[in-house]
Amino acid sequence: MNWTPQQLQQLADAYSAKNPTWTPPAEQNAALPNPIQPATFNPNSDPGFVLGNAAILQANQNAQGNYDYGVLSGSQQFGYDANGNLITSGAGYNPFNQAAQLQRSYDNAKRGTTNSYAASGQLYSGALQNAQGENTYQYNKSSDALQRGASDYYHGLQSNLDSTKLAGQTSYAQLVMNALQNYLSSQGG
Amino acid sequence: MALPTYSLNNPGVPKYSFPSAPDAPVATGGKQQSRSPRGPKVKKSKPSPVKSAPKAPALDPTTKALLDAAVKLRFGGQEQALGQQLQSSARFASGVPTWYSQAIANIKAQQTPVGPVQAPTPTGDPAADSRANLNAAFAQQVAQRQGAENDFLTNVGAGLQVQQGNVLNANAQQQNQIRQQQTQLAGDKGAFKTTTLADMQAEQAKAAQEQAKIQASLAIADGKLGLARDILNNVTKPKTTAEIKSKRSAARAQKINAQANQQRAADAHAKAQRDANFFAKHGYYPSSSSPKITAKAKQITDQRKENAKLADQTSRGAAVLRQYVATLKGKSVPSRQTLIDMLETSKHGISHVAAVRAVNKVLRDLPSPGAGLGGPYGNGTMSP
Repeated sequence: MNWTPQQLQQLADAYSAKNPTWTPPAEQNAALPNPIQPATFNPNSDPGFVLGNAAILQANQNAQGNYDYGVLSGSQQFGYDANGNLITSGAGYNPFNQAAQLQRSYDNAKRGTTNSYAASGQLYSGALQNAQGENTYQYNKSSDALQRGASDYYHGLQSNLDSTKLAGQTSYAQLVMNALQNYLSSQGG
Repeated sequence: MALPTYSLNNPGVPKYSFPSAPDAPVATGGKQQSRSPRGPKVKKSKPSPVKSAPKAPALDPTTKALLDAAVKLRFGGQEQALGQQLQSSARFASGVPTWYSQAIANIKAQQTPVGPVQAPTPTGDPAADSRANLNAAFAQQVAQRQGAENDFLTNVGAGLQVQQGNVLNANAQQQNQIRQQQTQLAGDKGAFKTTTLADMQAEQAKAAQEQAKIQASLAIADGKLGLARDILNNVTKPKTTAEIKSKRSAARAQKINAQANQQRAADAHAKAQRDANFFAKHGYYPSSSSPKITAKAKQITDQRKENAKLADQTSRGAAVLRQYVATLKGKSVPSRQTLIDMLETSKHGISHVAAVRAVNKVLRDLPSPGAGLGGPYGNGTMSP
């Protein structure tokens, strides 16, 4: 009996379907069945990867939590957000933050200076203008120092968060490579 | 290896015919071509310019089964292991690109896009721009760090691509090694088959020789000298390689003849069955439709009867000769005429020449040669 290639293919396919682990020998002249699809590589099936990745995620979560808390705390302390904007409402708003205190101090200084010069009859003198100019200068100087301090604080928070996340990415890549090597070894590589 | 025992008399013991022309390498598979000596002409295909290896002769099924079993016992595990290794290696190679792509995609998913740096809102004071520049510089530094990390991950992916190529190369090398081992194994199997087959044939021939000697001894004891001679002449001797090669064509012809004989036997059996049915129906056998065949059959029957008669005469003649020799070895030495008379008595049993030679031998062995005989040759011997 002579088998046609189509019949051989059907036979091989049927046998292969019933025997998933079977592959025809290389020297076989008959038509080969469709190759068995190899298993998909999933790093989450590697215990080392799972453990390492969990550590990375935990570190990132901790860093993000510290960052979020630091941003909120800094906002309420400085009165400026991470971008240097004055906070006037919201969760980060604190009526007694440093910016508000500085602003209040500045306002008091301006009012006291005005009253003092008015009591001495120099309300419209050039000396009052000079005194108010000094108040504004001192305010701007303090405000600039406050905002730079706030900026440094936020930059520090951001750097810590970025460092943790970047280190996590590097570790993640290493973990994936290790998992791949383990998988290749398990597949006979 | 346990070889089957041989018996010429016991039909219950399996008999193995000797493979006609075993030689390395021995093929155990393949379709066996049967060709009738006068069959239809087979259209020959144009010969390939590449000289193909000579086709190994087919073995008889029993020897082939024994040989295959021995080869499987010796090399089966190794062959299976190599096959599994090759399968595993091929499956591995087919999966490597996918696995590496998945790993690279997994790593690259960690890459964070670097967006535009958002400048802080100026507040209007004289130092606002400088602080904005400072924040922008910091944001740029953050982006650079992320960019460097992205580059690192990209390089990891590229490294994995290179590693994938290395893995595939190593895998191809491994597969080549496995195939080389398979080739080596095939060669070992061929050599093992050849050696084992030669051993089997040697054992078989040796056993056949022993059996033939026994049969010849029995025949001699029965006085069947001709039969003993035939047995000893027909005994199969261990074949040398040259003999084996030279016997290939003869074995092929023998096989063809055997097939023809088998066909003739089948035809004869069918005819006998038809004749028996005819006899059962009519009460007599049908006449042969071919006078030529009838004459041939009668000739064969007559020849067989004549052969039987000659064999009987040979037996009787030999007995007379033995008696005659015993007489000669006794003290009473017969006269020449007596010898002639005795030879006349036995000449129908054995050939005259042989009888005369036998008598002459006896006469030469006598204590006093020629005493009272007076043969024409002066030494008491006779001329045939």
